[in-house]
Amino acid sequence: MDELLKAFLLLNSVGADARAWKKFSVLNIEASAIWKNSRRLVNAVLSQNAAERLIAKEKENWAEKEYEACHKTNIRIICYGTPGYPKALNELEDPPLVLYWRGSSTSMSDRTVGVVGTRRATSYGRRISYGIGSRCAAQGIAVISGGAAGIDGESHAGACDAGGETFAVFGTGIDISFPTTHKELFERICAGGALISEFPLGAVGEAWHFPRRNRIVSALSQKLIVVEAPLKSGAMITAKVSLNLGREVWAVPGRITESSSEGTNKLIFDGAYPLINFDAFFGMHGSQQPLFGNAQSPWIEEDSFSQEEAAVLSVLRRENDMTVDNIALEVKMVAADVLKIIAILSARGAVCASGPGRFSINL
Amino acid sequence: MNPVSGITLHGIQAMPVEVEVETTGGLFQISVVGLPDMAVKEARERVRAALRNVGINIRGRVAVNLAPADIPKEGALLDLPIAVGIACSQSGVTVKKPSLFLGELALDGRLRGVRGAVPAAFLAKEKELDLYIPPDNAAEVGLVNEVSAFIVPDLKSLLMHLRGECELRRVSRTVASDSQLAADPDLSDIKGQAVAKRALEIAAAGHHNLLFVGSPGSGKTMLAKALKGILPPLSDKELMEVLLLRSTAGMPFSTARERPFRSVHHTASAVAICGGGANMRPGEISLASRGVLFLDEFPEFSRDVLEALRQPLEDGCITVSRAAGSVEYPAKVLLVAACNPCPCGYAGDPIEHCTCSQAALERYRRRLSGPILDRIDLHVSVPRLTPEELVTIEGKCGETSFDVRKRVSAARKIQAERWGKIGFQCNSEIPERVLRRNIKLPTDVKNFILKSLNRVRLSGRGLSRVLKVSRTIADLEMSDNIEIQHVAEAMSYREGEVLSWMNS
Repeated sequence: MDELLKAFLLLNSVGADARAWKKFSVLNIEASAIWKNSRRLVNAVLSQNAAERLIAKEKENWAEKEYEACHKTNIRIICYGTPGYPKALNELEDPPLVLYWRGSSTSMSDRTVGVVGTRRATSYGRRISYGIGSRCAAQGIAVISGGAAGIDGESHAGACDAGGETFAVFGTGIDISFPTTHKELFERICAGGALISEFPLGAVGEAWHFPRRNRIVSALSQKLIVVEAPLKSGAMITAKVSLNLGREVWAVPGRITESSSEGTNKLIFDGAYPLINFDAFFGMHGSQQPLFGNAQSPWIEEDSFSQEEAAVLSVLRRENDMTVDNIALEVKMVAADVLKIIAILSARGAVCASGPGRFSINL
Repeated sequence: MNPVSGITLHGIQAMPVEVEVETTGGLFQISVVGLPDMAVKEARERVRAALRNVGINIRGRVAVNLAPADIPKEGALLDLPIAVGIACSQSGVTVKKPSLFLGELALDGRLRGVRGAVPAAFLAKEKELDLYIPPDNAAEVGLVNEVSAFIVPDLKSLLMHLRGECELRRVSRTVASDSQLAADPDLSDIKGQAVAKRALEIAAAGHHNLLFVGSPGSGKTMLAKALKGILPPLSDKELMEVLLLRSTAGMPFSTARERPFRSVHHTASAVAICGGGANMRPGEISLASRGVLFLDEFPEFSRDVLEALRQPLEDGCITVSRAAGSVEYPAKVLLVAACNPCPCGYAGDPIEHCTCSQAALERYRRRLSGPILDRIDLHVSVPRLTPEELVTIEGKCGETSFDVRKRVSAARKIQAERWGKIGFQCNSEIPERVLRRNIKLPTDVKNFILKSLNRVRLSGRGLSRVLKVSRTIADLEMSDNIEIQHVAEAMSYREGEVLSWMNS
């Protein structure tokens, strides 16, 4: 086994990042010397505790086992400073030493959008994130997010459903599905993108992992969209890191009464770009023009709607979260007929359920 | 056959029990043999007191044998045949024509009503026996055709009748009323909820089981109750089955052709729902047979109970096996289940905020899946309306239950004509292979389904449920072919759609 790789794995496993490695370089210490040489050298860069853990792990051949396990399960290990390492991460002051990487995508394009937000998203937030995911996919932009429930999951799902590339950065070991309900989603992400983590295999999601994960999401995302976030949340941390890296930060405006939009509205107040519609965002992003114009999804042609269908759609464009009864009143039709139209529209993907018995336009 | 017989219940069937009495000299004693239960053993005291009140004092050792000896006998309904048997053996009363006697004796000789009178009437009719019943049971027995039954107010008049001194009143024939039932609640009493009402109509037409998901106060229970009112009235055969079951369980009956509605609390045990117990009684699923079984707070039911429901929902009957033997009860119910969208009940609610943790939500969703849901064709969200929305739709009532019932009856007729040849009544009963063979889909509908399948994930079983529901929707519109709009509507009731808005 390559000594450099082994050194990186061991250092990474005790929580050291590229800064530690740089110090070793300054001190002119060889990779193999880290565990072979005296503890004093290690202690110069690592804490006493971390150094002891590192040496204990070396004794039980942890790095070799880890490498073997990754090899068996098709997980690539990408080291800091090697060609496959995403360049964007070098802009961090503490880039991860090692990335565990699983999925069909082997490199990351530089057209990336990060989508972050709360796990307890409202139906509004979910729809927006899903919509961003699928619009990005249609434009060939990779979607980066954290694989969590709520906003993260929806943006991944939107990109996957539209056949796009998406990357999920984990705060756990890459072999752990967290939340477990996303197991299937993660497989789909692997098929069209990749799962990324800096944590060793089997690492559980400890609280301090997630801010670490967020800095990777920030660095990998050329632009960051905060969809819904309370004032104190991981998404706000991600936004802060992105601002420090000089990236564009967008925030989705929300109702001022909803606590889940307090963070995003605050970002806008502080100067983030408000995402007032998708075209405004995608128009500014890169040079490529939208592929599908204003079409909502690949198999809906706007003029293929009947008169009644168009009437229902126009009511739903005006107001969200309507029940069938209220739509029926607005379009002056019998509720049973509206129900049939809604059924057809949602089967075609133009309308979606946005709450129990409530419908909205699909973005 | 010994002319004096009683009955004991086996499932919903009455088994004849011959009562033989032998008196020998010696000190006074009555012993009852033939696997009597406690109620039958205690009959000794009631019989002795009642006979003394009509002037018959029992002398000597009396042995009462209940034949066949190997079937356990239960209930107080054997009081009367035992009393008649002893009267025959000790005071010269004779029973000329083989007869069935049933009734519980009061100490003064009056007769009290018993459970099982209707099964007894069917047995008497089949074997052409005379039937003697307490006055309380007269009305239900009157609904059974061509049975020669006498009303016995007390032991004294019965003995006079048997001696030929006077004639007992015969049971007069009652006819089930054909008058239109007033639906309670009526569909037009329910404000809004067009989707749920439509689902009720489809459920009633095709006998599809139904799941309502909605916040507390959204009206799930009221909707479920309204289902009873849009089902077609009971046919004669169905009425008899309902009558048999109610009589077996000792429940009050009604002459109206109204379908049963049973609402079961989630603390109910498997025995309470499926039937059984120490002395075999039909469970809620049988009492709801030919009608509606409503399970509120569906995920709170224990897994055992829900698993136990699966087989009867499929077969339309339930076999209860115990050490004492197994009996079969009918269990042809329309299942309506209701649940909250999340543990606190307010996920997606426009007014209240959901306070559930992510983990609690996941646990709840896991409970809301499983094999029993495979038997539920229609999944429907019931939104709780905001006060503004309630005000806007105030005064708009929609159709009455009567109008909807007419469409439901017509659709049922179409289905019976189509499937009658192969022995089915409703679309929901059709097995998958028969369905695939018999449903002809036009090309454009096939293409529509294929396109939709790309958007929504649907299992093979899920697809055939969608097709069955589509068939029912088409039948409601008297359409021979299944069209795109029918499939599209059926898709909106598929499993998973109700919670799709809170996915991932």
